[in-house]
Parts: sequence; C-alpha cells; structure tokens
Amino acid sequence: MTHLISLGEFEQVVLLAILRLRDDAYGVTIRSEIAGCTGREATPGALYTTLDRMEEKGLIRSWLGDPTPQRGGRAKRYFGLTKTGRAALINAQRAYQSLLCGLDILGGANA
Amino acid sequence: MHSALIAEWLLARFMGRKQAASIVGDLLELKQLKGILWFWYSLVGVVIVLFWRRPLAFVAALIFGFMAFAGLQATDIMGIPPLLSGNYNYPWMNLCWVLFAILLFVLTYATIRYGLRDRVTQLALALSISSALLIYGGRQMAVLVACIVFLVCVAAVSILNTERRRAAVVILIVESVGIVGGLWAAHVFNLFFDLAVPMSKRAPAPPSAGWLYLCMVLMMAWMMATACSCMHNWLMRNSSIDLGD
Repeated sequence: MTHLISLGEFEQVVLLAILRLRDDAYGVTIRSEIAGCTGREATPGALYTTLDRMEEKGLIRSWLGDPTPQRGGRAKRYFGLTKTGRAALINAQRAYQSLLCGLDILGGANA
Repeated sequence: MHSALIAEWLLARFMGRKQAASIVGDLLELKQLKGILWFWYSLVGVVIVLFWRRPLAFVAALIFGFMAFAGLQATDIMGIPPLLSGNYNYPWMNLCWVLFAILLFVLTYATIRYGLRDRVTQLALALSISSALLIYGGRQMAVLVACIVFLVCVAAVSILNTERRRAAVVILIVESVGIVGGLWAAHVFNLFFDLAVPMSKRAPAPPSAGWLYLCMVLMMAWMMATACSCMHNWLMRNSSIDLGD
C-alpha cells in the first residue's frame, strides 16, 4: 500500500523551487528562487533543516557537484525530487486546487 | 579564508565533513553579497536550528528516565506496597522499574528528536501508557485485562507491520543496552565502594561516591541515547535492511 507523506507549507515551497531549478538546485539557488517567487527570505538554518528532513523522509535526494574556486574549493550539494517527493507534492497541490475550485480569489481563473 | 575553515571545522563537529563543506560553500557565496557578520550570524543559526534537538532530548530524557526510576521506587506496583517491593521480596520489580524507566527515556528522547509521528515514538508511547496503567491500576481486574489485550494488539501490529517491527527492534536494543549498562555501572560502583569503604571499617560513603554515581548515570544515559540514535538512523531510515519483510 502506498503511503503518501503529508507536506508542510514550507516543504511544498522548497519542493516547488527545486522543481523549477531542475539540475541547478542547491542551497543558494533554492533560497534565491524562493525569495524571487514568494518574496520570502528563508534563513539558511530553516532551509537546511527542511532539506535534511525531506531527505530523511525520502522526498528528495542529494548529490555533490564539483568543487568550485568561488566557494573556496567546496562542492555544491545539489537536490532533486524523488518519486515519493513528486507524488507527495502532486497530492498536496491537488488538495489546494480542489479547495480553490469555485473560489474567485485569483481573479476568476479558478471560478 | 580563515573564517571559512573555522566555520567548516565547527559544522563538521555536528555533521559529515562533505555536508559541512557544502553548507559553508553556500554561505561563502552569499557572504560576498551580505558580508562577514551575516556569514557568522547564519552559521550560528544553522548550528542552533539543526542541532538543538539532540542536547535537549538527551537532558529531558535523562531527567524523565531518572525521575521515573526514583518515583516508581516509592510507588506501589500492582497493589504491592513499595516497602515490600523494595526489600527484595519481589526482585522482578527492580527489573520492571528499570525497563519502565528506560521506556520513558526512549519516549522522551524520541519525541523531542523525531517528533510524535515517528514510529519509535508511537510504539514507546503505547508501551508507556499500558505499562503505567498496569503499574497504577493493575490491581483492578478490568484494567489488568484491558492492558494485557492492548499489549497483545501492540505486539501483533509490531510483528505484522514492517516499520513498526523496526521500531520494536530499536526499543528492544535500547532496553538491552540500558540493562547491560546498568549492570556494568552497578559493578563499577560496587568495586569502587569496596575499595573506598572496606566492610570492616563501616565508614560513611565518601563524597567521591556521589560523583561516581552521577558519572555512571550520565554514562548509561549516553549509551542509551547513542543506541537509540544509531539504531533509529540505521533501521528507520534504511529501507534496504531486511528484517523479514
């Protein structure tokens, strides 16, 4: 039996940012993507906690890139969604969509 | 550059070196825009946010486990007064106290570290509630039967469900480590006592006995917390381990 993991609001924001960034999702870009799209400046502590927790839950996976001189020879840790993460995100978004359905709060798009 | 090396060393105390390096790398990238103060402020924030649960869980579990052990020694268990149960007429009760105290230790530790949705926390909670009911209301037949039925159900679910079976293994191992650690601590304490206070002199215990007792309690708690943490990481987060799935 497939057990869908429920997602918190910030978890969904981070997952969507990772999806949008495709192969370039690491700490700095995820943070700036969230800031650019939502206007919300996530603190590094909150972001890394969420990323670690979601990796423990199997929602995302991470891998190390090549070291870069800009970062003092330190590698970037890239993130990507797993099948479980994608399914959980779709499930959460469907719930939002069905709640929005029939409401006119987005200028009639969902009315 | 020195600040990056110090920051990396600091983070590596709490996580893997590669993960620490990647976080410091991220902060270094942003440092060019936001400055050195922001860099250190963020680093401290990362350390606190990522790791506050571990020391808090340890201290809270130690306090609750120890309080449970002390409190149970003064409580009548299943209708047997503490005076009787404490003077070795019922030696199995000492084992029950220890098992229940360790269970409360696991419950507190797992609740703070992993949250209420964690399987280990849930199993420890179910076992703690039924054990507490047995201890405080076990003399009433209805409570006794209800607790036994509940425990049988918990055992059945733990055997049938993979995740709960793993949680049961975590709790069993922590209980075992706690008992072995307790026996070892008692042995060391007795050795020390025999050396420091020979039977022939009948002198009062020296102050160092208190310190040794405290050290032994802390050592036991550390062993149990480490066992719980390692087994949780190994069993609950590694789905490839075969436990008869």
